[in-house]
Amino acid sequence: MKLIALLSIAVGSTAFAGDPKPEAKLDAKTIVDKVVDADPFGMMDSTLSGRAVLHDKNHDERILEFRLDALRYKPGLSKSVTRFSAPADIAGVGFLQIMRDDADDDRFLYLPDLKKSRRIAGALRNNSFMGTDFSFADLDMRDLRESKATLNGTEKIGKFDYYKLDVAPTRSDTQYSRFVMWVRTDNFLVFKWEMYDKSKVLMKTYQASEMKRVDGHWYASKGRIENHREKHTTDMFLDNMKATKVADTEFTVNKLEKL
Amino acid sequence: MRAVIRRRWLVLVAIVVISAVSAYSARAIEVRFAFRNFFDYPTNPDVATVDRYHDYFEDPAGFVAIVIESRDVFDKQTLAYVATLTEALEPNPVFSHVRSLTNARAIRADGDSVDVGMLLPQLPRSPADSDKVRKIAADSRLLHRLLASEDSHATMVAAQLAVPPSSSTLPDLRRAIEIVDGVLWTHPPPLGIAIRVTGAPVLEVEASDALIFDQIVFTPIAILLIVVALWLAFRCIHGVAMPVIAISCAAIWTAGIYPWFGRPVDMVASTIPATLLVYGAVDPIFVLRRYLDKLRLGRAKEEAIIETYQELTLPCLLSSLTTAVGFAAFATLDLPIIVNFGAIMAIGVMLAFITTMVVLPVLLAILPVPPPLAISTRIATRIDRALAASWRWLARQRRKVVVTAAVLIIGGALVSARQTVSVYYTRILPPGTTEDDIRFLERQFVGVIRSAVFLEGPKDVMKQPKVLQAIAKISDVAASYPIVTAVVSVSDMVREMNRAFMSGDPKELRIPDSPNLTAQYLQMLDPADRQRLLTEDDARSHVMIFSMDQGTAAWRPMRDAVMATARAELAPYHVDVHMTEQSPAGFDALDALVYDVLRGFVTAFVLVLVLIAIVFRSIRIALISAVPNLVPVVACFVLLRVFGISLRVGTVLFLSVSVGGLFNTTIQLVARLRQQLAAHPELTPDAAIEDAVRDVGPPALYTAVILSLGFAIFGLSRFPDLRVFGLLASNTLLVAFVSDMMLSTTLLRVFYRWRKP
Repeated sequence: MKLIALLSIAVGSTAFAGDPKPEAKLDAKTIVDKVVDADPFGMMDSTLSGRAVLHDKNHDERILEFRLDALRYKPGLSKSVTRFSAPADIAGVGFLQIMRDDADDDRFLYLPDLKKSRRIAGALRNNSFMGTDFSFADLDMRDLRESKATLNGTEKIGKFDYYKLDVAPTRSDTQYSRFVMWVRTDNFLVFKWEMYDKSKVLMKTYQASEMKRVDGHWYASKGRIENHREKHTTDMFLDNMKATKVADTEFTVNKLEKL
Repeated sequence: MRAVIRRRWLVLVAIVVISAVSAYSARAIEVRFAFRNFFDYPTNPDVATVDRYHDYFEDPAGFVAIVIESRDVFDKQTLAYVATLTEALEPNPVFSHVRSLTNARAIRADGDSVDVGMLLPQLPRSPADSDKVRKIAADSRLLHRLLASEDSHATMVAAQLAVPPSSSTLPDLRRAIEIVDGVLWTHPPPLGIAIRVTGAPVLEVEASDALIFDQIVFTPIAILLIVVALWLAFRCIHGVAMPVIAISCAAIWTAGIYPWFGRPVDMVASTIPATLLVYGAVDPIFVLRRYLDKLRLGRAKEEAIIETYQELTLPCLLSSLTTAVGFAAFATLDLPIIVNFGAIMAIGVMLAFITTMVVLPVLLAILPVPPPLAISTRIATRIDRALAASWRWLARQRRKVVVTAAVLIIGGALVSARQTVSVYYTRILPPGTTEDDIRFLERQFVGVIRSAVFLEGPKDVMKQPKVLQAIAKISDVAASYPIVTAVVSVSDMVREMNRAFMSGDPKELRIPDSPNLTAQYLQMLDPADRQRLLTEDDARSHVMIFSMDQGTAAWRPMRDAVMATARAELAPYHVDVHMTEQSPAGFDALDALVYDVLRGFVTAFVLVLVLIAIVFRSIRIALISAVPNLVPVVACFVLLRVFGISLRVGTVLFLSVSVGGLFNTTIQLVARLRQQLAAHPELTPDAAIEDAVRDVGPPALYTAVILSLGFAIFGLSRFPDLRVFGLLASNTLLVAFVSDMMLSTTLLRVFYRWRKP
């Protein structure tokens, strides 16, 4: 709890003055919808650059740098292109994802050395996002979108109030049985997110350590996700965030291969 | 001795108190079979490598495996059951991971797409779906034989212990097995599915139980044997009760000391109680026999005790000392398993000497004189007559006996020199279900012997195509050996990824030449899969080699070829290579154990000869003693060679226990001969030897029979190697008696420096 309090100070330190007041008497479903809508990782209507620092159980690390362009093309659905720039040997690798509500998402991976992109098949949403501890589902929050949630009151941690939610994903292809989330009452960003696997074992924990508001959009600009089973962590840093509408034409396989 | 007899009651109270304290201390003894005990000791450089390796990559010894057999494990019903078991086991904190077909990932091409996700995103809906999954599993080196058998009749759910067996207690391992049993009880297999539970924890628990069973069986049988032998020899309660009490005191005192060494009773140490009991019987038999002789000559009880001890203290001390030195020689070696055995046995033998010198005279002084039948046993008379007659015959065949002995030793040494050392990992285990399951794992899956080529180099080196190609070459060299069942390395991941990105073209199952492409493939891996084969900085990796347990003689050539390839291929990239893992470390240590036992035997043998030379002040006697005691050992090696049995722990262990017993009769014979010559200088050499044979022969025969039968009880062990050990030790000590009666006497007659008339 001490750590949480300290982190919350860090989280709060970048919060802008004049944050909106918490909305009173929201139900759990509404809060979850607002969490999804808040899009803390910039997967909708944003451009940003990111850095992921991966640590294995022996503290050996690898750093990935990437740029993300994302467009919300329908409510809850987005198109995104992630382009890696570091390390040098993966520079130019691109990943295009087009979320679908009636079918599997379209995903294409462009490997510059093959000079072509490949469709990535199967239930990738539960897979790791390019070797990090985030799965695609963690980033796009689709498991939250289709879920049943219970509000377990609010907690004050440091300077801020948080909704404490218990969420049960309902999608048949989810890898999770349950989430426990602490969500800031003022901006609906997830401060802490415990993810339990189908066997109800705590699988991963995400914790934000810095939140930034840019162009009126709140981003979880620093955070760490820890895979407890694999003793593997990923620190995610987001920078150069810009809340903007990227042109729909940027999200095609042709563009992916040309960039 | 007079002081002990005078304060007999005080001494008795002291004996009872010491025994009670020892018995209390002995409660801390743990009986445990742990493979790691064979190689885990501070001066073994392999341990640090194994531990460092396990810091980076998981300890593979720690999973309880549920083997599920059905007509087709890829059918929906079986896979549904696999999923049920996997999900039921995963929440338990005792297990860190549960691996099965239902949570495995696979890299494959799917038409023009690439799939790097779950092998089974959902259960197969049709036979065609099942066939598709079967083909993916069969085509992947990362799955083939690891989770499903080649014939699709068996699959495995592997529940990895959160705490590896090396750091777990026996109750921890039992608990893990109970949890698996509980899950199987809650989720019984549907009709048509059979289950077996196996894996390293099961193996360790069952082997430990077998050790406990051996102790429960051996110790009473050893005592019973001693009782029967003593009864036949002395035909009175005194003759049985007194030595048994003395021996039991020595055994209890030794047991009290055992926990101070901080080691569990392992396979080698499990021989200590029975060995100590039978060795402990030797001196009391000589003492009791001489005491009865004194009574027969009309001495009073106290006088008989004192005279007996005056005559026997030195030979008993010497024979105990040589026995203890023999065992102590093993305490100077490296391997704790044998050091522990040598030290405990040396202490135990000396404690047995102390009880012979303290407990036995006190009992003789307290208890009434034995009945006349015991004093003049007919059996002893018959034995000494027979032995005297045999000596008179031998005395006429001296030349033939000496030549025969020389031929036996030289011929035996030549045959023995061609013996091979080949130790086993699982074949030392008791036969039964566990052993059957291990053979099943070898036939259907990858087996239980895992060796790892641990690769450590500079940052990012492991993703270089040349390095990955070298790793692939190492894998191919390993896979070319028939004992190898599977090889898995990071090169397989990259090769399979390349094939998947090339639309599944089998020709593309290769490492691409582009450094960027290999890095990009590796980047796509899930952290869980990646860190099983590669560290995050790409500086460390490993090649896992699974093989059948066909002995180190079959395994060593594979290791040497793999290591030679690894060193040659990876040296240009500054990658250090180590062959590591529990099996290689254990194999090296077990091979070393065999050589250590052989070296220890030679050291002990020489030390005993030096001791004999010092005590008898005669190098000649020491050299004479060497020959008759080499014959039984050489005979055992010839037997091993004839029956094609390799040298391994169980088959050389007899040396460590018999070295002490070999010289007992020789020493008693020489000591008696010198006493007779000192008391009766007029005796001719033939008569002096005959007298010594008549005095020493009967108790020596009793002790040889007791020792031999005592070791023969290991023939009842559930451990095959302990059975061989028992039979060889038994054979050695019986042959040693015959050798002493024939060779020692003849060599003394020929080479002893007799006074000229």
